[in-house]
Amino acid sequence: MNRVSAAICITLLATCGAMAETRAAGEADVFACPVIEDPEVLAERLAELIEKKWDRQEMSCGAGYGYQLALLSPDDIELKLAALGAQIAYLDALGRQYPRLYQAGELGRELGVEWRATGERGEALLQDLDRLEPAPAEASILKAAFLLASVAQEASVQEEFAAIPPALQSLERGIESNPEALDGLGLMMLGRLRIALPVFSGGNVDEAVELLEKGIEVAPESIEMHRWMVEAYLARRDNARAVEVLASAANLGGADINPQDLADILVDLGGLAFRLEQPALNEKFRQRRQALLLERPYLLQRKSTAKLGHGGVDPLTGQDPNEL
Amino acid sequence: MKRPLIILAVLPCVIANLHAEELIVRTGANIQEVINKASDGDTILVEPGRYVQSVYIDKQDITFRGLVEDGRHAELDGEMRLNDGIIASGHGTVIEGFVVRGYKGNGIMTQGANNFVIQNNTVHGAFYGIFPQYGKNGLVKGNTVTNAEDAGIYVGMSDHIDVIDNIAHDNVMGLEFENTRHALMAGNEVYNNSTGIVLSLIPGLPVKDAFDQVVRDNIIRDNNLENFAPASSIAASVPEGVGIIVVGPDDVTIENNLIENNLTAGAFVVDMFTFGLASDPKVDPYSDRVRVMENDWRNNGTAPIGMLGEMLTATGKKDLEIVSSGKDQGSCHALQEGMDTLGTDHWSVCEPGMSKVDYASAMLPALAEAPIYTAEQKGRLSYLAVCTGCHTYGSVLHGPSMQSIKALYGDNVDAFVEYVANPVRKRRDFPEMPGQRYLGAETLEAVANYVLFELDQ
Repeated sequence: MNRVSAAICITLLATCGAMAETRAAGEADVFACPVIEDPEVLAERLAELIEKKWDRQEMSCGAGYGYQLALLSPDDIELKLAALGAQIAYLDALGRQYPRLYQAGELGRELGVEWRATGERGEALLQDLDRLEPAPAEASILKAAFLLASVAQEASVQEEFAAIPPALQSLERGIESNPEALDGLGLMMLGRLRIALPVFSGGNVDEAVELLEKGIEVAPESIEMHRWMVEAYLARRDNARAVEVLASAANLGGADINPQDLADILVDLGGLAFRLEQPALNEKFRQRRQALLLERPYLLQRKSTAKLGHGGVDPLTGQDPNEL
Repeated sequence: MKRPLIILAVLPCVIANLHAEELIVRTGANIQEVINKASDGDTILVEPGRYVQSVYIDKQDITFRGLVEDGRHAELDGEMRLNDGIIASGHGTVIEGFVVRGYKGNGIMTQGANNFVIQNNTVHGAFYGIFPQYGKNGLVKGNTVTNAEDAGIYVGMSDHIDVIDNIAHDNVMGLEFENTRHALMAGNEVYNNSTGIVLSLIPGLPVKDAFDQVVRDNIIRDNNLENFAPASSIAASVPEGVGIIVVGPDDVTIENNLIENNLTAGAFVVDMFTFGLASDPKVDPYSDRVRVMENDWRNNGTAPIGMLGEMLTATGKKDLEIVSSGKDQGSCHALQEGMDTLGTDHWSVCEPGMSKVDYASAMLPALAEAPIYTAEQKGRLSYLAVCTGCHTYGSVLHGPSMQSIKALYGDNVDAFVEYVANPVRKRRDFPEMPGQRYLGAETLEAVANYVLFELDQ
């Protein structure tokens, strides 16, 4: 099964609210994905399309194919997990490309339809997976990922808050069952939650450090794991260790990671190097990202744009503040 | 030998004042036409009356004053059609005495203007009521701001700013410092907002830090208004029922305020992860060295509401004066009898030497520098101040995307300028665009060049 880099869409105090369009029953699909009936072809297309995190249409079709494949083989747990992973990946991609900011008109309508449809597919898959006893570690971890991803947008305050305790429980269960599942994804997610949550709701920076250190043992080549390890050390104000991990990350290949994820993580790592006053490392990440974008010009660059008198480039220098 | 030197030092000011003129806008006249005739250092007086106009000041040291006669004011009214009331990018601007209402974007905004004064105005409605941005050395004093969908007074990415003796009520946020350094809020009355005061560090912006802020001697009460910000905006995530929120800035002192009847908590010190702000790895997300000195706390946290309320209810705790997400360092609070806190076990007791009760001003002892902006800088500042109220780059906000506009005009600066000055409604699925002729030919051309040749290149 493809490794899924789940998003932790933690908007604990965010009132996402509803998008402009009302929910209409039987909303038409946004994208006309080619009809496929052969399970082998479906599996191939799923594997191919869900990796295209720079292309909303491709990912949408991939997520749909994954669900279709799971329906065709109701007893195949692996397919269900893969399909759930695909829904999570798509929600994550939507959230990154349109981060909780109002999109009016046709685009707003499309995003709302896509978000709701993906959420419904994920919930249906989750209901099936919840019947498994004992739940495999992968199922527990992906359940947590879906619970959090699905409330990142289009969710009420109560829904967002309600997602956290079961997500925590699922992660703890999954890690207890098999901490190495999904290349340490559970360790990474729980570590991130421990950083993000307030101390009175389960936040614990020391535990976050332990979890992510274990995550690096499980997945020593994971650049994403290193990224969050740096963040955990910074939360503990252990800048020296943060710099060490950052330097290690600079030497990681990143061959096993989706190129869009890699492009995004390199921005994060460059930013962390900036914060830690490591210009040489910042430059290394910058050059690496530039090379990646030159090699793959279709990747999303996530440039800043201004809105409502805010953001975008620095008006006095003309520089994008988020460029490395 | 001192006398001649003093004379020489004073002489330029005397000469400037000798040449400074007072121009009068008669009731109902076009304000911008008078501004366009003004020279640096002039005073523009606007007679009482209703003016359905947007005004742009890009000259230096202009005093722009609304006159009051028999209780009648100079009122700028956007009729909820126009985006901005008063925009200024000239250094040394003074804006005073106006009533500003009915604008969709900004009531009064300064962009890149240093040494500004915004005082004794009343601003009602708008997204941001009073919004100085990218300024150094400014005073916002004696204004009344209400019904802003974001903040009543919103100081953005500015340094050395005093916000004093204002009244802010019925806004989503009463007062805010965003990504601002060296700033003071004192003597303000902030009530019936969703949250009273927010000290923030917003990710993704050109200024990546915020520090040295003092909040003293304010009345911060009854801030429990249901959050009415558009779901689109960051302001929609502001919790209700909190007196003061600190999310991100370091070295903050909160002292000698009356903090009363805020249903969720008196003060909330929170990191950017917990607050759900999108992560900007260049920004330190933790608020360190927050010093909550002695304040008059009354009846806070009695019935927590919203998302923060849900979290607090789950802990079984209420009646909290201070809540911390627990990830800050170096913070303290004064030991006050009957004070209840959550998440502050690691805080120390503040020492008397940390008091800022006598902190008079964050402004500079002398004027800040007043750089002359290039055409490119003016283009960017004006784009930010004016255009982004209705246009984003890659998607529709109120008007079409900038991407589509660039595709439409190519390199045709003249056509772009002509349209922006005198827009004609071409598509039914967009509202009518208000004309921007008031910006003047030079600014319009600067904006056109920026949009067509520089934006997202």
